Amino acid sequence: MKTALIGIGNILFKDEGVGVYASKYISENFCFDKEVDIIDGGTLGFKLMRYYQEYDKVIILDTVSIEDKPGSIYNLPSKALLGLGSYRKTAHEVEVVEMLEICSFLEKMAKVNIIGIVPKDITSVEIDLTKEIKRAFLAFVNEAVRELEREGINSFQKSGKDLDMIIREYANPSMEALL
Amino acid sequence: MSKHIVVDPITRIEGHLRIEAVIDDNNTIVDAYSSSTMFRGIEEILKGRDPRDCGLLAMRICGVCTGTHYQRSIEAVEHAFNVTIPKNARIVRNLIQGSLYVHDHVVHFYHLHALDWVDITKALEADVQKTVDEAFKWAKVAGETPWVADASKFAAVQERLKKFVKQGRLGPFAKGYWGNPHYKLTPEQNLLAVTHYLQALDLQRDAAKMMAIFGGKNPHPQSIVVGGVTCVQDIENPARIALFKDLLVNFRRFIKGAYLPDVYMAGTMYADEALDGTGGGLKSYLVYGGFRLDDTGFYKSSLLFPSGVVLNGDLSKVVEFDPAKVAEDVTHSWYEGDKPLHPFDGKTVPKYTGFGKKENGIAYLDTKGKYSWIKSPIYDDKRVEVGPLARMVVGFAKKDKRITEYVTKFLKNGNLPAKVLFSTVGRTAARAIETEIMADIMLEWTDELAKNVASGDLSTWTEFDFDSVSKDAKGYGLEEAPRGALGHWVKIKNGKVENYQAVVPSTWNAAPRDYKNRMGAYEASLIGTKVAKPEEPLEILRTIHSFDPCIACAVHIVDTKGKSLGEFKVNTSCSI
Repeated sequence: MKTALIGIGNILFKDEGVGVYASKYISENFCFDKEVDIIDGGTLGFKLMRYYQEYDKVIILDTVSIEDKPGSIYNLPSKALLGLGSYRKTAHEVEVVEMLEICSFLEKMAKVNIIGIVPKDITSVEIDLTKEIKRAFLAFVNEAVRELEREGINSFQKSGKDLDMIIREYANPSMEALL
Repeated sequence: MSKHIVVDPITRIEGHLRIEAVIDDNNTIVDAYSSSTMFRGIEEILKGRDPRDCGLLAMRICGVCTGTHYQRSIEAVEHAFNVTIPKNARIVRNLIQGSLYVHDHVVHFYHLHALDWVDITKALEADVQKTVDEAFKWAKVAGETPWVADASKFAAVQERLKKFVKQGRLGPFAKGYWGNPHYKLTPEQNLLAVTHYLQALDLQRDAAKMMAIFGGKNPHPQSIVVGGVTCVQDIENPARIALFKDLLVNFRRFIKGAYLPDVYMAGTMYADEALDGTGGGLKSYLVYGGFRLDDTGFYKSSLLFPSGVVLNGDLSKVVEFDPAKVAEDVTHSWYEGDKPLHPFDGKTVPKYTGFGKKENGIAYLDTKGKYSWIKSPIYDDKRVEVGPLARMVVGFAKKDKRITEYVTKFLKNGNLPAKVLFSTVGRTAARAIETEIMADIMLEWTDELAKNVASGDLSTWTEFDFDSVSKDAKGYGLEEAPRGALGHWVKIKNGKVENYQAVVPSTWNAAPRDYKNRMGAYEASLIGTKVAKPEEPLEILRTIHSFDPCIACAVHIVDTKGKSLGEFKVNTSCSI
């Protein structure tokens, strides 16, 4: 079984980056007994299709707009979201749900779960998280890990970078580190 | 009595594109307004940073255009430092950006635009044998072999569609305006297009792989640095270049055997709209210029897409492009400011004034005041359109050899006059013509790269003395992104970024009115269009989609649109 865990979001808009930080946190602090591809999807748009097509199981970590308290966490199977995409109503939303809709027409498509967290602030231009989201962060991460367990993938904790350090690294990327 | 059509009622998350159109008694659009969010505030993020690192954050602006923002940011800094990259680096950057083009354009046509032309429900009525004839017919017009012309394949697609309809789920097709009288393809043509839609879904993966070969880490490319590229091993390894070429050759066959024939088919069936100029809009076009073809350095080399400005549809004149004449106005945008500013001096101070009148629960845009998060870019005090159509029009008017050849071939094969370019159909066709140009020249570039490496030139990076070049510098990265002219402007002082602005293609096209109350490209393109059924704004979507709008850049939240999802809530009170 090919499994991918993809963090989605725009790190430039505060809580919008939580999915990206969570995918990084998981790769830093967990290892698994089966192969899991952990991907910083950023603002992936329609390139998401490729993952829906090529994997058997895809777990997406993202923010979600539900009338609920910031930090509330939802685990949404794709069937709960299909039908929400309104291609005809908006001029373009090349996003998570729209790509689900398009790929649902394929004969084979990954089983997709979206683990969503209700954000507090996604309009401030700032690379950070609000304290509400920081507080809920570990529960968010744990839900992703549990979703993997439901697929028979067991995890082991290891000690890696903590959330604050991960955010700091995203806020200060350096070309030098890449060379 | 005029009537308001609102496409995309405001959702709880602000963002996305909203169009308000006013139609008269004959259902003709007499006024239109475009409002959207746009990525804003990149300068706040980048000020004070090492300019060499800006690309890594600039790429986060948008997911579809990740690589192109990354490259523009780096090139703005290279321009400021007066660094000319080596030949290998130039070709590799062209190949990365070229892969983005063919990927974007094919996905746009089939998965984000085709359903504006194709009535999927009609495909169920098609005769599969006649569909084979149809496939041959349009491939012949293009002078190509059809990608698929097998009755059993068409029958299989039809079966799949039937199964979906029976299950009551049409996936991405569930919410179309099926049966609208402004759909004009025959059942067989619809089936042919739907078949290509599904095949393109599989094939687009190859284009994504092409990008990753030289782009390094996927999905976020990291192989480009100020001074050149870092994918030295991929360049030195002939197998990598050969793999790239194999993927390209196959994708190019699809472009020529399916995409172009489909565009001829749509162009012919919708020729009346093309001929009467539906969706033409501003008819003034701007191209910054893009894809350097030699190594003479910034803004001196010959270009695949030459720069220039064509005004009011006059193909006999091309005005030379001058970067100093770009400005942004905020009269109708939710920002503070009183006069158009050049991006070097650009400011982004939000001033949200909300919506205007509210009727029957719908809040309307305050169109006399501020009504969009997009600024209004102006070139030499004129409103212009950018994108594939602009590139084809400017290249054609400039008598660029390559572009003229492809555009002329298209018009001749399709038996269409040049004026059809100034329409929604023309905009969609221009994108297809450009895709063919790109697929062809990328083959040349892969050979050029392989040859250059084989000759012993392995250079991928130009050295520069950062401390001396970064004391006081400014530069811009101007290129043609798939959606049009893209610019990043940077001012550098004592090794740090002092100011930074990005003007993205959809800013030019989706912008609101300006200080002279002149319309933006989307707005102008809707005027005069007749809507068959006001409650089904198919024609509005067709024209706006023809620009390939990409303004969901800012917000990537999963919008559940108020659906009750309580049963999926995770109980975190007893979390481990």
